[in-house]
Amino acid sequence: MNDFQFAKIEYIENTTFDGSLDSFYEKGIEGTIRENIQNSIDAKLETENKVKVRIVLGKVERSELPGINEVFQHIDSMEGKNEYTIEKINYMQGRKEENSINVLTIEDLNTKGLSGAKNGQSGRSEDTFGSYAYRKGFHNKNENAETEISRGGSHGIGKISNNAVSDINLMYFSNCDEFGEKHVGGSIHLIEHNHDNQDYRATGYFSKKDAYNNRLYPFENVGYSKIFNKDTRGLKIIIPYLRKEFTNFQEIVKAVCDNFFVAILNENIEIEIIDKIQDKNIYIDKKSLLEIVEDRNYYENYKPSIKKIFTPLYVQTFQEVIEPTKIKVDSLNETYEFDLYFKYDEELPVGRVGIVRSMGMKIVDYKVDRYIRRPYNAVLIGGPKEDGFLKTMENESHTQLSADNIKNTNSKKNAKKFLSNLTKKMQKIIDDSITRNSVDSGELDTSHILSELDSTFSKNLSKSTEKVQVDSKTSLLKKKNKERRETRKEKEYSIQTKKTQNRTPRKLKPSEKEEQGYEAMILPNSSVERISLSDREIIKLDFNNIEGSTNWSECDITFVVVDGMGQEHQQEARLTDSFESITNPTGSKHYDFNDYKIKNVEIENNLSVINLNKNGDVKDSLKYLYKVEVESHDI
Amino acid sequence: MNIKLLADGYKNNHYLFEDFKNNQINLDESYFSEQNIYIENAPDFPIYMGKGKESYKREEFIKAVKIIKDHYIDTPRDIHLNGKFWHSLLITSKRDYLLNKYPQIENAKEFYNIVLKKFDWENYIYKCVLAAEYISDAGLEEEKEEEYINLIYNNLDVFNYIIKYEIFRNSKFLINLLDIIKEENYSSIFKKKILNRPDLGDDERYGRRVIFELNKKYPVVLSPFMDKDDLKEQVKKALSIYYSEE
Repeated sequence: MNDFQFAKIEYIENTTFDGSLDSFYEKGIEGTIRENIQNSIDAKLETENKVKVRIVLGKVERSELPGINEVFQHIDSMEGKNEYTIEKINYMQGRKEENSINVLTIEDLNTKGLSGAKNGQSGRSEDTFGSYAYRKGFHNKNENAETEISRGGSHGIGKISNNAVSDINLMYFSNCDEFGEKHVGGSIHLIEHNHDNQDYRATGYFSKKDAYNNRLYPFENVGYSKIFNKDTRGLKIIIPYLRKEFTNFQEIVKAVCDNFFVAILNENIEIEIIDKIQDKNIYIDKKSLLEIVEDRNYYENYKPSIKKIFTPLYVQTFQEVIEPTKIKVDSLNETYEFDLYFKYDEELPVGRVGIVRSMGMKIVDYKVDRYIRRPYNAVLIGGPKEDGFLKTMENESHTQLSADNIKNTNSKKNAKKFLSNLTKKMQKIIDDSITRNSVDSGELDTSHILSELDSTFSKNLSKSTEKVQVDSKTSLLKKKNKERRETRKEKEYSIQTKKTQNRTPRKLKPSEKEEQGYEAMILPNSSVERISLSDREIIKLDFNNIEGSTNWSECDITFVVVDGMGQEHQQEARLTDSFESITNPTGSKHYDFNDYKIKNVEIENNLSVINLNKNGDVKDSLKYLYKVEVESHDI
Repeated sequence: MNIKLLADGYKNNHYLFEDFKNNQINLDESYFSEQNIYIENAPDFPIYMGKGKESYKREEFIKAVKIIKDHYIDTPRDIHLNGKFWHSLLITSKRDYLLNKYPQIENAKEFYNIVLKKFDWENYIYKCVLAAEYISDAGLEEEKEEEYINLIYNNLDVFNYIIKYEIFRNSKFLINLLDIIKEENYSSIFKKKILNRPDLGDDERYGRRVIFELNKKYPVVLSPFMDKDDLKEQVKKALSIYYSEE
């Protein structure tokens, strides 16, 4: 009878490891700590005040791991098809002879544990044991809708984070349910492989298989090494072959504090961390958390140097602000309410908003656009509805908030709107706090801006009409339709009109091909005049409004074609088809040109004029922008 | 019948595929929204013509366009041009049909590539929906319809480029262009690769460049709204830029 069950398959199709393994591996031990503690908080018993979690780093003998010989038989039969997979398989196979093995256990107390172990792989959603043990990417819903939304996980794939930190992608778990029934399970993630002339699926389950109904059932927790003991209700995760770089005690302590400081300060959870190898231990509750964030062994807490890890600041802000501000942020169709704990502190070099789920786990250090280097710190917490909405914007490992994580266009728009409103709101709050706190700035006299606006407005009104020649005698004034999305604030409006009066060239980033030392820009249409005559065309480029242009003596001009969709194409004009020669206005100098570029055109008095002699009567019906390249040391 | 719409973010939902595969799709799961769409009748139709013999792919394409034209495109455009609607339809009511017809979708990658493929010009349903719309808008007789669907299939590469540019998305332009291709016997030339022009990229074909030239000249030359004869002039002009008999 086998200890590990791999499903038999007809042929091998996929020869790569599950992609989530890599993405969780990159998150390091923090990813694993987050996923498991989050699950523990979600599984809290209603009758208990707080969840307790015990994390232990230790060693086991190889022989204490059930089914390990079988595991290595399967590992040995894997065959990689690309370099990365081959390297990883070799690495896994190299672990076979090790005898003293690193192991991490994460055990929770005052929690529900998994239920329905006896039913094995039942496929019923109330049997949480079955879905935890035997399904990938499955997340069982809680009967109570509100707790469901505020629960941490939503991608249902977090449990693979336990496999990801094991050298051989192996994890076990022990469960004790409400009736005191104790079972063990586990899983290993390999690639599809052939063992003893049989093809197997990538995932193996530490389980027995019922010969009649072909379902998997867990083993009862009898006769295993004491590392598998789980005597009180709850779940214990056992990760053997823990990668060496993840056995760092300090990193684990920091991962706990960084992510769950709100849950700890709210006294929803206490976490004990024991390192048996180095004989260290720490008990993290509200009181000791305050000491840890002050301890330089764990955290940089000299304020002017805090630029990456903000936990000491968040803890301080969350503790010191007694009455959080209620803020409302709208999306397109909803209003979300948050509690904002906000602190202005001149010593801080950078500002972040720690966005936290109502269950107490931090999601992200949110950067407020354009306000990244402002002296503040904040913690933002919503309720179940807000959690649900934030969840849609999170990535798989719950560490990033972005509308790009949503594929549906409408919801994406909605999320973008929300994020931009959140940014605006935060910007205003930060601005207000800075004005409040800077004493000497005084009030700005803005009356002159208003009167200037008045005069520029009437000027602009007359300018925003254009002459339309109806026939040779009469001329009409036609209103130019300028697209304006919404009325702007008056002050911004005056800046806006200034810009349209004096259009600046659009600078282009140099492409790799372009030589260093050249600068390229697209000229505004107002700086170009093009006249078509019967046998030639004249183009006049006016550089007068361009900063630094007085020093220029030569430029290359590229004809950029704009297609019907508004896309620009740099190699689509056909100058050699349309023109026989290109010269300066007097015709004394011929310029070199290819299909889309004219080279070394003279600039005199800030003007370039070129004369293009037509080739027969080719009619050109393309629309152009003009790209100008100059040597940048001239600028 | 009522089609329950998938919820936002369903493509990121990893258990949607698992549940589909294991026949455990549950309308109460979080990957469904609360919205329903009612359609009179939702017959099966082929959704993928990426593999197989040419004659088979053609039959499938014609069949799909006809069924979509007869049963689906009378819904408002925001329904039949919305990928979520089609994905919801496939997930909720076409599992057996799809698994039987495209057994490869038991593999996650193929599932996303065939069933939940992004709804744009590379998606076969999208192509068929637009083809069905244009054929229906043209108001053709029944035997003519099949002829034009055939023409679209024969010139699928050009059709792809037409629907890629929004300015060309109208029935009259498509029908005119197909007529021109037929009258001038351009079909095989349009599919040919343009050789000796490394500046154009690896896979430039005459047909694609013709469509692109028309796009470049728009709106100076309003080819999407031209009569067939004027359009033919433009097409010839565009083709002559690239084509020279040797």
